[in-house]
Amino acid sequence: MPKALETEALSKRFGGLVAVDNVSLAVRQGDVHCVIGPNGAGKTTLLNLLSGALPPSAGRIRFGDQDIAGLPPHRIAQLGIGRSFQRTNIFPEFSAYENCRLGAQARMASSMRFFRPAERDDGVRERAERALALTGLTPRRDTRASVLSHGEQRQLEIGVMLATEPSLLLLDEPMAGMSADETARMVDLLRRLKEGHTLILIEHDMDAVFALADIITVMVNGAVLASGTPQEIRASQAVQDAYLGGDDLA
Amino acid sequence: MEPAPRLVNWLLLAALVALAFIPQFADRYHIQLLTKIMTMAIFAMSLGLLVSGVGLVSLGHAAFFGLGAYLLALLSPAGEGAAVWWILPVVLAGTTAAAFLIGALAVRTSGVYFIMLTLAFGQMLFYLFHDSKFAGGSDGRFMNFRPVVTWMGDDLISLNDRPTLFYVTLVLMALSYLAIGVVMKAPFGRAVLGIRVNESRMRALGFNTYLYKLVAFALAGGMAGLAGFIYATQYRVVNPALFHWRESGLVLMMVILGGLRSRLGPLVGAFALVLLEEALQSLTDHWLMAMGIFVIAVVLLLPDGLTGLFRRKPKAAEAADA
Repeated sequence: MPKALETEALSKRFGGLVAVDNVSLAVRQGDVHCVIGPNGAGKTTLLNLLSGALPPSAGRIRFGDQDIAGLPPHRIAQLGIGRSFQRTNIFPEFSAYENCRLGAQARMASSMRFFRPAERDDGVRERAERALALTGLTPRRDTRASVLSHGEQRQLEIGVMLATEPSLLLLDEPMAGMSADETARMVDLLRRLKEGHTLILIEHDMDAVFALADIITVMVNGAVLASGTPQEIRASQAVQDAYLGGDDLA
Repeated sequence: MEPAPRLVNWLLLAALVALAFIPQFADRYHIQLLTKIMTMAIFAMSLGLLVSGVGLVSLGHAAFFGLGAYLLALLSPAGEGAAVWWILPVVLAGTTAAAFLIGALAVRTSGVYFIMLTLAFGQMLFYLFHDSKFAGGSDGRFMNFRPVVTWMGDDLISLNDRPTLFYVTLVLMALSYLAIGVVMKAPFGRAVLGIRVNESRMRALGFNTYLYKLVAFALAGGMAGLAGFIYATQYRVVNPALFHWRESGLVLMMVILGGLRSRLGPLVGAFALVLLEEALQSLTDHWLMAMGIFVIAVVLLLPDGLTGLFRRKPKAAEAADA
């Protein structure tokens, strides 16, 4: 199967600290590729390298047929890599719709347009409405994002990203702080997104991870400890010892 | 910057019509005063574009006001008025270009660093014009003739006529207000508002936020240049004080006083501040103190500025239906 994204010996050092250490990943097109590991394992830093929020210290990132390592975040986003954040990162004073509309507008060739109202662009409007519908926020369309519930804000976090119509989604703990109900809805949404998207998912909720993942990569101390199918990871003694802690997964 | 509610639009139109009648009965002094206020309103709106639109607080915006005024005074021929058809585009292009260059460095920063950088650039221009002979040094420069608006060799309108200049300024003020409204509703304005609220997310979505901030800074500079152009046309004299940070501070005060959440804010702030200054000056020698108290009161009591008084209701209703 073709690779959506590949990293080669990717590293990020902060002074003496090696946050991401020589990570080589191969993410297949259409997979849900989960990255798990204890806090401080370098998972979010890895996403920051992939999305361009941080430049890597060494290594390569191949997306399609180009090396995107070190490109600024807006260029990477324009190539079709969407990013959602661990701590909700939306536009609190705008309506849910305007949040998604901005995401959709990001897909326009350029926003250096000064005359025609943004609202007149049918393509942008449709993409925004579609993102709202996908995340189940259509009933909350005109509500200010700041007064949405925590779960709804997490959905909107995903919706804003989806409105940019990315092909590869980088999701940083989308279930963080969610109730069981909300988690179930998010798992359902992510499962639907598998159609037509490649997902790289960081998540602590192991039930969700094992329900969704095609491939799981385990990171410890910035390095890859193991990578394989959920069955292989479950069976790995090294992973058991380092992270999963035995009977959790029985 | 939210769209103005309908009632406010009607009030605005009424105020505009009322203003248009003023030259019919007002004396010279008051026509001149109102022309100056409207010029300041354009200047304040240009800064409002930066402060409320992009979230960039500049303390050097007078640089472009001064530059607009100086460009007109320096480029006008000594023996006749410059034709508006070429001098106005040249002044607008010059101030926009200057803002583009200064912005290229300044908008890399934000917050207090942006304030410091814009302040530094503004003062640099102040000293450049203050200490060099080509522009008349600290005395500034007198312009012998106002620019002329001609058509096929005839004077179309005469800017020497006070009421005419008043109407020209009124029209330019209204056009500036409408132009900002159009731009803020267009994709550019939406992008810039998004940057004000959450710049890092805009970048993650694929917006080159640096470029949008830079273009906004250049546009604001060009509009301040327009205000400077009108100022120099009205007074026919320019001096380095136009660049000074006191001028930048004054116009920033207009924007804050009027209210940061409304497109109307800078306009209201300009009228309120200058008219109040006039009224207090005629009442007491200690008018600066009264002025200070007024400004403090507005900032403390009206977090959304004077235009906050017109806001229909706080947004509590939306919170309630959550």
